[in-house]
Amino acid sequence: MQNPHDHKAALDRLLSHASAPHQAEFRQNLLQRLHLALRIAGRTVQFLGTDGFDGSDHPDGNFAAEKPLAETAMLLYTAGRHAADPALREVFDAAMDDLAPHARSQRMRWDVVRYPSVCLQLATPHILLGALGRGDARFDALLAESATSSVSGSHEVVPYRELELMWLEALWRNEAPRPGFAEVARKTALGRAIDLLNGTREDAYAHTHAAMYYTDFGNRQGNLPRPAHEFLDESAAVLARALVIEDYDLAAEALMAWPLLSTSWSPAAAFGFRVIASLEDKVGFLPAGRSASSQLLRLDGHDRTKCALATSYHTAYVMGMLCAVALKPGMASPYATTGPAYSMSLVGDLRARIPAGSAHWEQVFAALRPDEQAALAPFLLDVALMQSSRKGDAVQMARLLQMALTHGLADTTLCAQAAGLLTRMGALVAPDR
Amino acid sequence: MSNAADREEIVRKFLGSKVFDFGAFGKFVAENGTSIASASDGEFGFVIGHRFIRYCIPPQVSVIQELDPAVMRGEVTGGR
Repeated sequence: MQNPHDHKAALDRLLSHASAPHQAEFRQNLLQRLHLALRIAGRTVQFLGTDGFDGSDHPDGNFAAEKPLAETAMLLYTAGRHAADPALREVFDAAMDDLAPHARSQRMRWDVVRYPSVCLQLATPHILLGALGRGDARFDALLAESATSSVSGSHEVVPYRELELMWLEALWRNEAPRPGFAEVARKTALGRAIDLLNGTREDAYAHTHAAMYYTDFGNRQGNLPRPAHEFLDESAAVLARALVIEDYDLAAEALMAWPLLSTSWSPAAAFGFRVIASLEDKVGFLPAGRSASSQLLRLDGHDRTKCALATSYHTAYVMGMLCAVALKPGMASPYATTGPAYSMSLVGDLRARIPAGSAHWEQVFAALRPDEQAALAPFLLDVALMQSSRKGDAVQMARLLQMALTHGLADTTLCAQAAGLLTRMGALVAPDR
Repeated sequence: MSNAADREEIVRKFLGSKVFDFGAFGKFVAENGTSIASASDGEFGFVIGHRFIRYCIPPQVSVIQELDPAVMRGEVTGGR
């Protein structure tokens, strides 16, 4: 692999020739990023694969080993289609070797037998290793006992989790997803938009995850319940919000929607990719956000490594998965910000309506060429609308909608939801009749 | 919302109605204070009254500035 300076130089070359990137060069860049994620996976399994993590100051920061093991398996599953590449073969095989004994440990066998209602989730590493050619008949037999037990379907789940279970079961049985898969998809964000202005973080994850399972991480191109561009408009809004609040975990997940649906990168998506790629190069891995756990200062040795990995591995994995699906045949360079050029006066006006801050996207945007900035009016509109909505600034929202209509940008879910919110606000303050 | 034309029509309909009373809404905001707005950039979730409903994936952690980035990089990637 190249050293970090070579890596940065390669990225600089990519960014400076964004309008005409060299096909082989961007693929090499993505492979290097995937390599990094697989290297971090090896350390994650080593340090967190046996006991998980229980040293967090925050209750939600603790987790059992099953979580990183399942997520490691998902990273390997997405990376699997590139496993034969000489740049990845060694690190991929090493990560597979690291994961396998944990995936089928005595503890894991015990859990699968004891908790049949969640046995498929628990067996995620086993199932995905099997899909990658490393099956285990004895574990399969145990899983079959649990999966057919009288209480195996007793744990209720929300639709996108149901989609996940159906996806896992199909992989395990090496069959197409059972009937009803498309019907369940209709109940997820694939079939109906989440609330982009006032939805929850869980809603945003429901949006990003539904596409992963429905497409088998980009391997399956089934019919979506509605036009892909509608779903991608919403992915762009989730991405914009994630970049504003510097939630790079969510940003990278939102970005996966384009390659998962085998759709060309939109200017906003390409911009989002640049933001997180440049951050990964700056920090050395993609951080979850701006913060780091204060616990790290109090710890040393093995405990500090565990804590650092526990708070960082997930986002690093998502970046690796994003690069893996972005390497699908037919996908263009994610560094090329090309699209319809809007007037610079519109771009300047929209940018001026967004309060200046210190988020990384602002620095990257400022460094873009004018023609690249001109393609990002839809992104700026999304940011401005969401910012004004969160401040309860109805006047600004209405002005932005008028601008959107004037410039042909109003045909998005976010604009419609903003108009809907304003209509409801109007009803709230309307005089009694 | 089944297609783009519908979505644009919703916007057009709202703007065309001119029924939104900005003055009344401004008065409502003034009377109810800033609690109805969510100015925080650190949240994705929504606000009901004064309560945040938060879902943390991954968990929120406290901010520190003292940590050497190279140390963190070394711990996560195994390299220096």
